[in-house]
Amino acid sequence: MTTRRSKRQPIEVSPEKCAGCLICQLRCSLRFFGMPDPQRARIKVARAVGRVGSDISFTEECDNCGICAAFCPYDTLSKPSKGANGDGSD
Amino acid sequence: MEATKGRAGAILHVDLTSGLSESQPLDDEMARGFIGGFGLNHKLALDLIQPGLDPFSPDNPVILGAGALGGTIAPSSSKILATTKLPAPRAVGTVVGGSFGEALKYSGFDHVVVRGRSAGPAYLLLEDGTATVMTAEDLWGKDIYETTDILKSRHGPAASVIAIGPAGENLVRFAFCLVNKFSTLGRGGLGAVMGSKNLKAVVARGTRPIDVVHRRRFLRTANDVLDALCGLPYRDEWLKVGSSIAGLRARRGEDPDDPYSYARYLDNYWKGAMACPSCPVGCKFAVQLKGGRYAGELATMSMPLSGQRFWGPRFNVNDMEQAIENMLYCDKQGLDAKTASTIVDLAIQLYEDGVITEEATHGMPLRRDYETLVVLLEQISKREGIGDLLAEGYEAMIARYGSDVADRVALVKGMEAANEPRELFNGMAFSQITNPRGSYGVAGNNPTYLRGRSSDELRRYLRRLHVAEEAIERIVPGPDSLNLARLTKHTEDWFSAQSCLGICVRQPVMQCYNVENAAELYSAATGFETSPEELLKLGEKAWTALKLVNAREGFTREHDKFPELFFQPLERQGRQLPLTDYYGKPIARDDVERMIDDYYEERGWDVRTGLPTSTRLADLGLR
Repeated sequence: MTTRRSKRQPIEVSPEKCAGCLICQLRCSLRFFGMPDPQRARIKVARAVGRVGSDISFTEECDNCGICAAFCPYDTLSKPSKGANGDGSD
Repeated sequence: MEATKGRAGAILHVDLTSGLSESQPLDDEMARGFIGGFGLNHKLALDLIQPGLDPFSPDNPVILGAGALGGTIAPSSSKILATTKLPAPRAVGTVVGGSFGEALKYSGFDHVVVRGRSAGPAYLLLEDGTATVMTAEDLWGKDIYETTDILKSRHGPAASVIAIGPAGENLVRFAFCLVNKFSTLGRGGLGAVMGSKNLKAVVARGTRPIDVVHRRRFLRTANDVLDALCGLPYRDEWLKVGSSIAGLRARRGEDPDDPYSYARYLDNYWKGAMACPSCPVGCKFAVQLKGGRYAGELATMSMPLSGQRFWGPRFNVNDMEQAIENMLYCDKQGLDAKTASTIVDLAIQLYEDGVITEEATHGMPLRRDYETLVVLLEQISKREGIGDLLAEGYEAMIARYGSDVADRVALVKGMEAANEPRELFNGMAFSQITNPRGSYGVAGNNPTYLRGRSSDELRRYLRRLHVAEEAIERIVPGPDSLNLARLTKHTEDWFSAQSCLGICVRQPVMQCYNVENAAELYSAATGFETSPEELLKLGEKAWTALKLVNAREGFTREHDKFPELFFQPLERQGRQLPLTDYYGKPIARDDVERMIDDYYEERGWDVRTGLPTSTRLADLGLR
């Protein structure tokens, strides 16, 4: 099965910049479920213990749509600039 | 089970004595009547707090409440509010902290009422509509950081934690809590109330989302607010220094040798910004000290830069690291640094003047230095040596030392008046006098925070609050003329409305929320169409409800007393600052009495008693 995810570049993460606001989770779940539901978001965020920032990972369901990156206020997440196919084409 | 839109839909009642809990539906009438958060907490207080309780009585409830917007995508809406009879003022008050509000909603509850006393150390676990009283035997005695880390590793990183430290366990009267290790909660002694219940922590985690009635409307306005917050021109600075930003601006071109320079803080200790859930303008910080007790450890602090004010030069400490270290100690132990630093300063003064002797200190000299602070703070938290008396607060110190203490400290309802009117008689400096919860100025914070606002600016502010023109005329009658007391009433009502919604009142958030978008978000979330004026009136109702609870406790105008100390000039760096109004005109006792008259009149309360009239209560729907 090819997923939409496989057509897009993964989100780039700078986990040390994460402030823990969870806006990525709120917006991700809002997109998929129509209401904010952090536990069901396709991006997982947990405040790191003993170091700055958070532990961030994406679930299998994540299709790299980039809504988390679009809303992240702390420059933690970004969509790669090379285009969806990694070679400048979409 | 389909969630009620716009709220979790349940009020939980927990009895720690029996370990049993029961959920009560939060019906439309109560929700419409009090919104949530501040307002609904006060409705519950009116119904459930018997007058005359000792704050440490098992019958004194701790009422937790999320704001009505908690758990939604409304920015900066995760505030938690806790209402109880507080030990320091012996008044019923509502304390506010950042984060946890959204987690409470996701766990299935809008409010939780905790009563009774657990037989042994316990914590309350709230998960998806259930409540369990868990043993905290292994947590008792641990500091707040360690406690929170253990609870998060036990219940998962999504668990939200309010915890007390040893100071709360030992019933230090000014003990408080930390929420998720980084937000303070409980000035006035909430930590001690929880300690008296053997309640070490409250943990919330859940998977119950909060939906809103009108999704598109809600999204549109939430997006507007988010854009405004992310677009604030000073946002980058804010993420480094938070609410100390006014000081940062005042220091452009600061001296690089200043031990408390911002450059020193940023280069050495600031490691990153931290935020409450839903907030794009985080005001908390990852901080790492290089030396001292916490060398190398990552701390998560609300106010590292307040270390200077509380533990710095006044104690001859000219090392930023030592000042932050004592701030961090207070955070971990759960000690309110405002009170702790004032009481420690008093103790040292009394020692310097021979009133406190080495007999009282068990042989320890009280010097005005870092080492003494370290020892005294530990003694307070553990109630050892003279710390046992200091932990009892001002009331006990005045009982022991009389006017030697009473004449040296400005107290309102038993708490130090931390906003100094002689530096600037602004909204906070006035509001701390009449706030029903005891001395607390934040509810009165408005543009008068800064000196020299023009009449035009103040009128614009009042118009943004939809204050009627005839009221504006009596509040700002002319150039360089301001009725600060009347202004404060309107500021408090807006604070109250925001606190019903669970919206933060830090400066950037206050700049991006207004009565229109707040009313719109509330209407869209709940389906209860509410105009800005109606929202503010509900804010006024919530504030008045708290006053009513305290009227039953016996508080009257007599207790809204302006400290005598403020009528003496303040000595500041060789200068004498007399008491003046906001614009610098000297004022005396009868001017202040007139201010207090005006405040009650603006509120429609009885000027003689300082209490809401039955007409006003009926108008607000409180009778």
